[in-house]
Amino acid sequence: MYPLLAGAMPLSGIASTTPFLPNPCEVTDRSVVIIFLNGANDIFNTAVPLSQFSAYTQFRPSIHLPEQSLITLDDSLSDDQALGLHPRLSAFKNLYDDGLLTMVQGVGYDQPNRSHFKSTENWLTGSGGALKNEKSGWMARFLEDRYPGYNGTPFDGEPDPLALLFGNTISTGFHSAAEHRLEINLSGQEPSGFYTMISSLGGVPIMDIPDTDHGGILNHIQTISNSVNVYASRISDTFNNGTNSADYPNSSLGNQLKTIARMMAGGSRTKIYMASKGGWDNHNNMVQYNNNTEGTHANLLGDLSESVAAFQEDIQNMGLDNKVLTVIFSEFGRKIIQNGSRGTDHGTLSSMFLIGRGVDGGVIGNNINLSDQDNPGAPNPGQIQYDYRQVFSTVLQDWLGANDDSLSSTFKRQEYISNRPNLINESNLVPDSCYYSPQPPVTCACIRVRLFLEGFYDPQLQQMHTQLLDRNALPNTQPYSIAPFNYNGTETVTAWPEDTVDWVLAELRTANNLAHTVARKAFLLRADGQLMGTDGTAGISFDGVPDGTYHLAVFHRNHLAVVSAEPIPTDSPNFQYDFTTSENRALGDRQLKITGQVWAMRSGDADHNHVINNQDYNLWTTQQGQPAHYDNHDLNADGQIDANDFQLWRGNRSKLGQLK
Amino acid sequence: MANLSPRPGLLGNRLAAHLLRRASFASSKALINTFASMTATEAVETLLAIPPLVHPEGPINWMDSTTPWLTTGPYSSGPDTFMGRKRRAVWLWVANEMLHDPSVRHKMALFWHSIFVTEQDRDWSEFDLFRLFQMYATGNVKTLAYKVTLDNKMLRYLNNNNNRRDSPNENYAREFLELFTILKGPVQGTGDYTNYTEEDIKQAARVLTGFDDEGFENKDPETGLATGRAIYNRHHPGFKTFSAAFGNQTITGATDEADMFRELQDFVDMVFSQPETARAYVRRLYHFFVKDTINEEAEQDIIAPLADQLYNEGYHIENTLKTLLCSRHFYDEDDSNAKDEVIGGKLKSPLDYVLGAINLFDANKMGVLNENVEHYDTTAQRFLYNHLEHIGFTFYPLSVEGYPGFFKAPNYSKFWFDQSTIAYRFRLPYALLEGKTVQNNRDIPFQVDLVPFFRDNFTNQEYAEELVRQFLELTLPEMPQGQRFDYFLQKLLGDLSPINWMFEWQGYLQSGNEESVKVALTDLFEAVVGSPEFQSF
Repeated sequence: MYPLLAGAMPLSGIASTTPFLPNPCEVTDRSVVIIFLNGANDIFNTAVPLSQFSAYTQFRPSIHLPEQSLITLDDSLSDDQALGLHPRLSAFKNLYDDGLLTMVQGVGYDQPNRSHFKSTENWLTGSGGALKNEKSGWMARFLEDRYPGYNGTPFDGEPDPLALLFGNTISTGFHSAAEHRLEINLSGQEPSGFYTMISSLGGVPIMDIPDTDHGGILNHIQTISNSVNVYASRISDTFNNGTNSADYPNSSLGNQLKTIARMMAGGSRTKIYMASKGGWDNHNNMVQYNNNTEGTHANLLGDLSESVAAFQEDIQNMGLDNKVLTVIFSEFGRKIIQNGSRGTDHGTLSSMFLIGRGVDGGVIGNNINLSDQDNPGAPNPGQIQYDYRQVFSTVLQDWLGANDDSLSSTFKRQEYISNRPNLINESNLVPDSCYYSPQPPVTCACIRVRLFLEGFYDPQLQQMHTQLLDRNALPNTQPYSIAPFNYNGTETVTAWPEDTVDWVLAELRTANNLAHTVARKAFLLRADGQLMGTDGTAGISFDGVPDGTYHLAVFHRNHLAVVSAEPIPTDSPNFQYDFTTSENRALGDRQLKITGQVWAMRSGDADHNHVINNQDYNLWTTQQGQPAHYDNHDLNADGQIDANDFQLWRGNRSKLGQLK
Repeated sequence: MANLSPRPGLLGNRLAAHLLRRASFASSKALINTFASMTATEAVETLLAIPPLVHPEGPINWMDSTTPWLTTGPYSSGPDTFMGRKRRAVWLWVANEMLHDPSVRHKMALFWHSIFVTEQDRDWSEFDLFRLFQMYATGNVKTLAYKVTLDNKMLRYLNNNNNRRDSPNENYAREFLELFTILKGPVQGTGDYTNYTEEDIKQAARVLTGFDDEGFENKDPETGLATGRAIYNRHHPGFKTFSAAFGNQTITGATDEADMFRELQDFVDMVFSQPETARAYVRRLYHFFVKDTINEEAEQDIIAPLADQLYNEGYHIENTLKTLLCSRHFYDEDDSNAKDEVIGGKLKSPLDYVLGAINLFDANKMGVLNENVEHYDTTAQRFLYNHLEHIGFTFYPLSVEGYPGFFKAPNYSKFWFDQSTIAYRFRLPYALLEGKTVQNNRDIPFQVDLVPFFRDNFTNQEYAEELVRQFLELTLPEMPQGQRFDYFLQKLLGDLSPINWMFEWQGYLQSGNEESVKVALTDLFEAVVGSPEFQSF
């Protein structure tokens, strides 16, 4: 779990003394934020090589920055690395001074392609140079290697989408060779309303999709719809539970990063977030006529540095800054020489920026030699110092803990994963001994169901109490053989799983006919709301039920039964259904009750006839004041039938269950 | 073996519907009936007969209150001070023409719009360029490419208006080769893209020096549309020698302003004399009209001969298009692989989805474009931005590469359906029933008269199964089978018996009170129009 420190505002600098992770191998909650500068940033007006200033002005007679306007990045750098930042990059200078920004120079790939599309595709698919035309994205290959068999649905420990896209980001990097989707695209959506908007759409799934081109289209639509549905409520929840604690520029990039920080604060464990900012293809008038320090490119750089700085401040305030690494790249650099329209044309090499508590800070690689050009005035591609894949290999291994095999599956060729630059500082470097081995997501051929019982729920602890277990009051055999359940199953517990709350009875009912019961089985309820089998494995499954979609009904001996608002597929491994996130998760009118921050089944139906009425009250009056062991009148299961139980009944009296 | 020969025999309902969905926005019950009793050749000839525009006078001219129609009054050349009102005006006019035209013209205009990409502008150059695409819809591609090069909007978008002798700007030259004409081949080495090289881009940029964008007074006499101009002292005068990819051809530099157009024509001719240019257009034609992917068989048996035809006919595209749309291949009747389907094998673009549904369900209540400026603008805003744009149509491709849904591997038409538009896409049935926008429920003049539609377009409506079957045949590319058919049938029946429906329908016919049948038909309509099947075509 993320520490939820929103509201706490440590002073700048304090975070650096925050103790690092107790266990250096615990890095599964780290993430990477990738910012793509779409259109190719001009690196030579971003960071000017100071020792070549006269060559710089000579190649850029009308667009060069005045020397006195430049921000000296670092006095201690040698001539080979001395750089003057664009005056609008003061926020980057501050990050650099705090040791939070590393710049890697001379990055690209062999035989650079100067088409925006092809080069972007190369960067995202891990192609270029000796490795041509990879079909899938390298991020997809990495995530698939990390979680082999991932099928696009949440699994144990990872409730969030593995990747989230913002802005008009191209999703190529996440295109998987398989049919399923690794990423969710949130472009243009409001995360807070995401769930509400889509939960009611889609219709009933098609069961037998043919293996044809037509079927391929149907499959695509259904896969996308499912991926949205599966993650929708979680996306809204993380967004709504989070807050921001820094002022961002009100720009597209500022808003993307603000949303990402907020979702992180709300507990999102997404591994890769991708944001983008367009507008960098400045063939024309990149600087203002009367002032080269202003204009299009200056505004782009100002927005970039201020947005990134705000993001860094935000996650630092929230105590998340040692979990997040930001990486900035462009598909290629621009020419050294300017063109005739006060702009620059497509070039070759560029620089990458890495920002975060995990980097050493500094400049890696020497400045480009401006006089060493290829034919049309771009940096000679022979000046390449790092292949971009070497940089990302460092990020994947030293920051996320990928082992060499995983890097090989991701980037294919040895030269892209060896001779990597050292970028991650010692305190945050994942030690060799901690590299992960690929782990299939833990899933079950089952439905995961989460629900709370009002009478058992403790809003302080945000879970249900286990007093019945603690008092040794739970019956070893399921208790639903009584009327009106008359369920004669032989579910028996031999050893009580930890955190067991109580028995519940679950039923599958026909999608078109709620009165028709297909299967019944008793399960245990865990304190965090998960239903589990009698052996303590989370998730429920029924025997001998044909695959299909069914409504799920859950009964409890003194709470009002609920039915899922939508039919649930039984053949979709690890399908999750959460009754706790909204009143609308249960069919019918106000069947769930808000309890603390969550929705819970209503307490009070002591005679389990699906109506909470005076009969329940009358039963309570006859029993009140008595100690209780495992008694239906003890609505909060605290061992006493008393006024607290009456209050629970009173809050729900006259409620009619959906199954009545 | 993929077969390009004309499909013999009458089309019948299913193939007629397929042709109309792919080659126009006009599919309706009546048109399908007409086309069903034609042969493929007769039907395609009908689609190729280009009628006059509904509003040849163009969109409303916001800027001049005395002469409301654009082409009948003076163009105002200044910027649009009303935040994109001109753009809205043009696109409502375009959408209206698309809705009313039963020919292939506007599908082809959209095709060119997706290839010769520009971005949104806030002046009437929007109109000139789109009009050019309409005029050359089924005309000569080579002429179109030449004229597009001189279009004001294009000159500005790819900066060729700033491409000068002493300071070349390669942007347009690069995209002309990479994206508009011959396209990039495999990379052979640094700067060598098989079909052309970096050096060719430099040479092409020199050919293209000295053209500048103009106001609206400078008209191309052939088209009557505004066009750019040549300025000789900005032009690179020398020889331009191209690489081996173009046979080391040399183009002689122009000697004066008029000669610059000759030099440009020489360059365009050189690019179009490469057979690869013809193949590039034919492949895109295939992606656009037939299938997302091109397999080896199609490359050999369809693309190659069609490219020869286009090349041999001097890039006049009409007959090439005719060959393709008449072919057995287009109707899925030429191979033994039943999994490899043309019909139903593509995902609808937002225009196919929204405009197609308006015509299919006879929901267009817009009538002639109202000269009332405020009314026109309100409709434009709502229909374009609160409706079409939210379903994923951006009016201009977000990049110079074109709409990914039309041409981009590996997903092609699947690009049109992603998480960012799913919610609004699935709202379309409700929006059509209510006459509202998908985004914010504002009134727009596109609404289905549901019960009369079912009364007037089908027969034996009292038999539930027969009615559902007719409706599904009209709307979906493949008839759903078994359970899936029953799912749609149950939507109409509402878990009651077919006899009940029969009584309901007969009751409606007797009383004229449509209330109760409307409930059942609404359920059916929403389920079908909101189904994954309806997204395919």
